[in-house]
Amino acid sequence: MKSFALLAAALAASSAAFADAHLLNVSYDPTRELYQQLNPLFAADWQKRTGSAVTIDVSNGGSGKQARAILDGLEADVATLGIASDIDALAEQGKLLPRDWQKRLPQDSAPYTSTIVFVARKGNPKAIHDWPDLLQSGIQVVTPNPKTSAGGRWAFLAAYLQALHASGGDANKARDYVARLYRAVPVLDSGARGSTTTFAQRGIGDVLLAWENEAHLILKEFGAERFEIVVPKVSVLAQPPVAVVDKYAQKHGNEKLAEAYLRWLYSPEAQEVIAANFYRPTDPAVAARHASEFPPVERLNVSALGGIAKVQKDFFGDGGLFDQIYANK
Amino acid sequence: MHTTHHMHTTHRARRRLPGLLLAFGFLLPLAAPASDSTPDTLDLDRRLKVVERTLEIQREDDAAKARSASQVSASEKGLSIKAANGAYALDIGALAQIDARFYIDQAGVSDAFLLRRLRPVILKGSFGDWVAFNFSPEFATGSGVSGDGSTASIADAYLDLKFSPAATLRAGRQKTPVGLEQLQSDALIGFTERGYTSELVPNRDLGAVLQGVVLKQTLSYALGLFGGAPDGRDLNRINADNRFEIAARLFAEPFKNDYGLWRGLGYGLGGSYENALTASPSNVNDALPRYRSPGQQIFFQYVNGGAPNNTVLADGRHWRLAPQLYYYNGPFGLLGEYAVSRQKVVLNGTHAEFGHQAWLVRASYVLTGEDVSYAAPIKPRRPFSLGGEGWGAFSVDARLEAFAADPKAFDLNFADLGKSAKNARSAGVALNWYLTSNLKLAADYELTRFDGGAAAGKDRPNEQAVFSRLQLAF
Repeated sequence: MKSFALLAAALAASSAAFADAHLLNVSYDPTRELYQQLNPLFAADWQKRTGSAVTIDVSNGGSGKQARAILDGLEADVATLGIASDIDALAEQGKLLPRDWQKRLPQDSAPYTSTIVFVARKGNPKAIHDWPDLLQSGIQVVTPNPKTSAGGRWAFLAAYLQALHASGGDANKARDYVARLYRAVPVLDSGARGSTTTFAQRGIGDVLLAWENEAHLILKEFGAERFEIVVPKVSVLAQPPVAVVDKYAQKHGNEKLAEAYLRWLYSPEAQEVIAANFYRPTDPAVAARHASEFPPVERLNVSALGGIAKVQKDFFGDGGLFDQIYANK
Repeated sequence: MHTTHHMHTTHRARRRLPGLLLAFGFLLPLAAPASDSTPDTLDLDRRLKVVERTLEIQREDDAAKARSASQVSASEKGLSIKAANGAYALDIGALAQIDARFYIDQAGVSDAFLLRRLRPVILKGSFGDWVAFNFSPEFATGSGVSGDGSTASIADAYLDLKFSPAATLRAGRQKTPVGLEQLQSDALIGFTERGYTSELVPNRDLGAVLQGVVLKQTLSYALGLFGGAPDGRDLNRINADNRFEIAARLFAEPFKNDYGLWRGLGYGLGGSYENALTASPSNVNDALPRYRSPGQQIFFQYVNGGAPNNTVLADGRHWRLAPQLYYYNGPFGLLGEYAVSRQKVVLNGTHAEFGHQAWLVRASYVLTGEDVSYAAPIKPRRPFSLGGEGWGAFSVDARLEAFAADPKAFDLNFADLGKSAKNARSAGVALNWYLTSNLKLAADYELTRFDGGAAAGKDRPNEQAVFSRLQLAF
């Protein structure tokens, strides 16, 4: 009788711990549609597993801006941002999670990856097939500002890495390539969606450097009869990371829920939705099933440059490589 | 015939053909369709689109910056720095009062210029939604002439914890919430100096007050604990008698939210209570009064021979009550107050308790028609400017007031009728010229008659004080 009472009390306590909950996911700009589809599925799964309801709110915005908002007091339970350096800032400046956060989840806390592709006008009138074509005379390239946009940073890294790869590791040639590339950029928007507006709505530029999933969204929203996707042979392995923001998750009593949410993103069910939204799934079986939807591209790892933290400082910090080439534009 | 005419017509047409062809060829580019734009036109089109988009982005960035940018402004209210969300703010103001004091037919009193108040930096601000502060250093040395000892180096220094409009905790150096005229801002009183009722209530003290407004802001309350300042003065030492004073005030403005005739009516009651003790003659001024006339001359104080056996000392219970009211309607204002201060004292083993009282009525009228109020400066509709047409605003104030010392104080020799008057009655008039809402020139005349206060118990000579002031306040 006593043990039954204890068991009942434990069950009551555990269900009370998972009573109806709210979770705030602060995410970067392009994931609006992705999490709109993922969240109801997780909520149903959570309800089935624990008997508790959960409501997930999502905030979208430029990755850097979202990190700044969390540092300024936006109490995110989880951060699903565009680049690891933005979550590093939460750990270093805000002490909101441990510095080794990236080791806590599989694949360096990146349940999906992406890459940078080209979006050209329909018919590809400027014959843009690969990176060297972007430097043709008269070509205008649209890409976001890497100082403010995670997509912009990935695009810069893609350009630099492919030039480094093509030149056999010659950093001077890679630097020269990006310098010439950014001379051809007429407008630097602060975020990926701004660049989409510039290219697709304002009609500026001959080619847009975009997240792969954004490229598919452009065709869907603005019409496949107006634009086409060109996948270069070589690009960057973009790894948008996810992390529990420990300080706020603990404050809200959401630690277990927040971790469960992020781990669920690695589940086959979530990976299918990820693939359907043109993010590259990390589950090998799901990736194999959707292989035909993702053109082959050799994706170069930023680890070749010393890792995200190093490139953030060397390339995008004040006085870094981007500042140097853009000042001389 | 027809054939010849036809031949002539055809010949004329042929002669004109080259010209026509030339003209037609000239016109061709103007009539060409747009799709045949030249490379230069396309390039211009691209450049124009880039410029337009750059401007669009610039506008978006500017708007985003404006939303998050701090706002700095300088105006008649002073310098203000405010965060975009308004939660953090710093306001910088100042107050300077330069007086000229003249006495008519009064021996033994000097005419003088005086730096009455000099607060070059008044800092007010807020940190977040619920913390505010006020810091006002004072560089002037008080009312001067008769050396009253009001030499505070800090006027106000307090923090507010604003839990809600109904409950704010204010801690620090501040005005004790008792007297109506005393609580009015130093820059707004209609005369250069306050009246008798302000002589009977405490001025600034160190303590904590819970205060707020309730009932749709028609009732304000304050309840505080202080070190205990003497009548009409600031607390100069940190609670020398180790006793604390409770001060409280209720003030109602029942028609504040209406738009009728009585909207500007307010009335209330302030009071204080403490058990004050004076340990030795050297600090009697921390607890016992020295009442000043409108001309700032001390006309009443208890005997003080410098030794414990010939000096009146504070001996316990000290309470004050101050019923008060005001009424403001357009350019007209009326303020009235009564105050009583009753205190236990001891002189050479003889214990007594005396109550002194005063009343005051002050009327104001703005001749140029601007509104007058208790808490806001008069704002001239047409400020004065050199070469301009405006002359600012003018107001006249009239004041009747009276003071009555407790006659038992003289009967028991706690006060000397040869040095202290038992009664004083005053009537005064003031003229204020508000050149701008920040700059004021003022002059007032007040006649005071005394009962007693001179050698052999004769009446102290009448006081005719003519005070003037140049004031800068923002």
